[in-house]
Amino acid sequence: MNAREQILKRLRRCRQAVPDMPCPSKEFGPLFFHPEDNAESRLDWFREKFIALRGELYEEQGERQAAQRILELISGLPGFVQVQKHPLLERLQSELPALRERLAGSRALDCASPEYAQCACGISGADSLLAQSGSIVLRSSAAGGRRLSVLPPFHIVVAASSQLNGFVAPWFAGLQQDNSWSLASIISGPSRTADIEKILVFGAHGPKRLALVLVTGS
Amino acid sequence: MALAGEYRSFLHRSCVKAADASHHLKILKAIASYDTAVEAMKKSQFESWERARQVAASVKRDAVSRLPELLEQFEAKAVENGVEVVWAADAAEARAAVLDIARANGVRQAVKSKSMTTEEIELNEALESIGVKIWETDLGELIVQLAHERPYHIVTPAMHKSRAEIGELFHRTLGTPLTDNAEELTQAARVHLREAFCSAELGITGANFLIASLGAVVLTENEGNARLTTACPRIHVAVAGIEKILPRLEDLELFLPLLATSGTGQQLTCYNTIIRGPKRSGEPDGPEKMYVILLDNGRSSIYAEEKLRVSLTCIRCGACLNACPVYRLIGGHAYNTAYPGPIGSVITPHLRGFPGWQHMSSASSLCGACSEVCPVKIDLHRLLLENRWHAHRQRTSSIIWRLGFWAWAAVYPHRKCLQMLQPFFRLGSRLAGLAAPRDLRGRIPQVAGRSFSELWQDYERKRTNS
Ligand code: SF4
Repeated sequence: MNAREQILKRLRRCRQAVPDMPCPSKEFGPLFFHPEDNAESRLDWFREKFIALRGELYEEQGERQAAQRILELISGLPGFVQVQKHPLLERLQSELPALRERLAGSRALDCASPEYAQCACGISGADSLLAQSGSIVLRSSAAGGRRLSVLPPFHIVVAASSQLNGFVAPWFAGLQQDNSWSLASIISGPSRTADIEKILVFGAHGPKRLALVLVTGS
Repeated sequence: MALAGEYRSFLHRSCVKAADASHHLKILKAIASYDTAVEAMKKSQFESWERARQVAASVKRDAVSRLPELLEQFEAKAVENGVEVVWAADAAEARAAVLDIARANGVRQAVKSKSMTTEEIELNEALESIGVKIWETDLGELIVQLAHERPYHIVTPAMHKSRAEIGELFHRTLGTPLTDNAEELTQAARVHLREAFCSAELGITGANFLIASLGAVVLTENEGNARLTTACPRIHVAVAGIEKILPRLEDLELFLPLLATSGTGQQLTCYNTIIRGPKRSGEPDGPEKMYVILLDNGRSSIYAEEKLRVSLTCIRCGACLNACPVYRLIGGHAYNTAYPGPIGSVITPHLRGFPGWQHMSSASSLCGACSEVCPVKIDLHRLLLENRWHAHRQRTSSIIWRLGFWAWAAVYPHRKCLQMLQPFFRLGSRLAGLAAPRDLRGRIPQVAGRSFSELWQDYERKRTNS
């Protein structure tokens, strides 16, 4: 008998022999504190959480300003910048040819070649922003893969204010519908550790800086 | 009678650590900062922490009750996602499975993110034995790996090391310039492991949760090392205990904040990652192959025990370790097991065999602090009693222990017997007083000359006479 059959058979037998554990209440109900969830309060709510997590937030009126902001953020960086193919990012580059020029050197992050070490920054879109925890959520299929958001020392995310959500539930529902992704991630601030004497240090293995360029209005 | 080897060395290590004031200071400092963060987070995040615990306990108990069905559901979904699922009855099978994968794919280097399950099966040693270089990538795990130690704590592996000690260790093993600056040390680890992430062929992780409805593995972390471990290497292996199952993706809405709050006092950890398979067509990167190893290793025997089954609902947050006065005093290394502290004491005898490990059930003051903090409401201190009872029934406790209790049970209920033995008790306490070290002399309580019942009888006699 192989291990699978052996384990399952044993578990099934015990499942019959031993009564289920009592579980009084499985209904979540409201468990978490949160301010009223409407379009206006959501942005304040998100802003407060995201900044507390040491995210850098840039709220920009319209796409041209957002493009300018990105150019500014990456202008002084040493290596190349990798950018995801994404409709919003495409539009920003059309708005500002200088940005397109700066991003021309973008290439896929290939771990096998030592080039990856020269990647100074990754720019990607996001699925949605969560006000409850100040998080950015993304899935590998729609965010330029797995490495882009974690390998470079600087990660810039571009999102429209319409992508702001209160809670994670709608995103989970969307994930279940979609069959194209292999990895989905909830990112709450830049990488950190407190493994040494509980002292908080940023930039453990993931990005040291996480910037969100939020396009408001149009 | 000689004490069993493991028991004796446990006592020895405990005594050494309990007397080590500098160890005690480091641990108390770390736990104090943990306590402050956790209390604040419970209050600011949850309308009622107690209600959250109740719901979490219910969801997880229901999931564990339905373990066989949910595991099959998980497996079917995972296979659909292109994952290869391997079942392992014990640690040896799990090790063999990983070694086979490593050999078949020509693996020479592996990166590993923090995982207690791989500690449990002692995977590092096995991989090294076939010549695979293994890199621990979590900062705390890297520190204990470089020091050739076990993780001290299931969430904070290097809790017992000061900045200066880590600086010295890095200087000696990695050639880092001598420093005790936490930021510089973290940076040194980052630089040290960058290459490893990109040249390793195999990435090994544990699993914080398995989602049955999706066939997905959930990883929660702060550093980004688990993200890199599952992004760069060609192959991803996740080693998961079978009890990690949750029925639905939605359950994470509660369990991610719950684990982060109890584990480190955060609302959410920095990266919460849901992985369901290798790279899909249309995705630019990710592993070509993904394996999930479902590990039993004694869990099904816990499942068979009605009262102990609830210990399978543990989400390994580490809160019970931090709360335990015994753990705080003797530290994580005294236990010499992958899982120390209250939860370790409950499950280890079942995972590794009763005769050698039952002493762990006695390493508790039964104060109940562990049960009070547990986010899934496991009655840990009662389960420790249950283990002692189990050991008794199995007759695996020592002969002296059983004789002692047999004698106690024979004598204690009978007043007459106790009375007869009183001179011996008196003598015993006097001898103990004489043999005590100087600073305790005179402070050992002595058995009184006459017992309460004797005094009472006198009193009654006088009353009836007068
Ligand atoms: S027993 Fe409870 S408190 Fe202890 S690690 Fe498990 S979940 Fe956390």
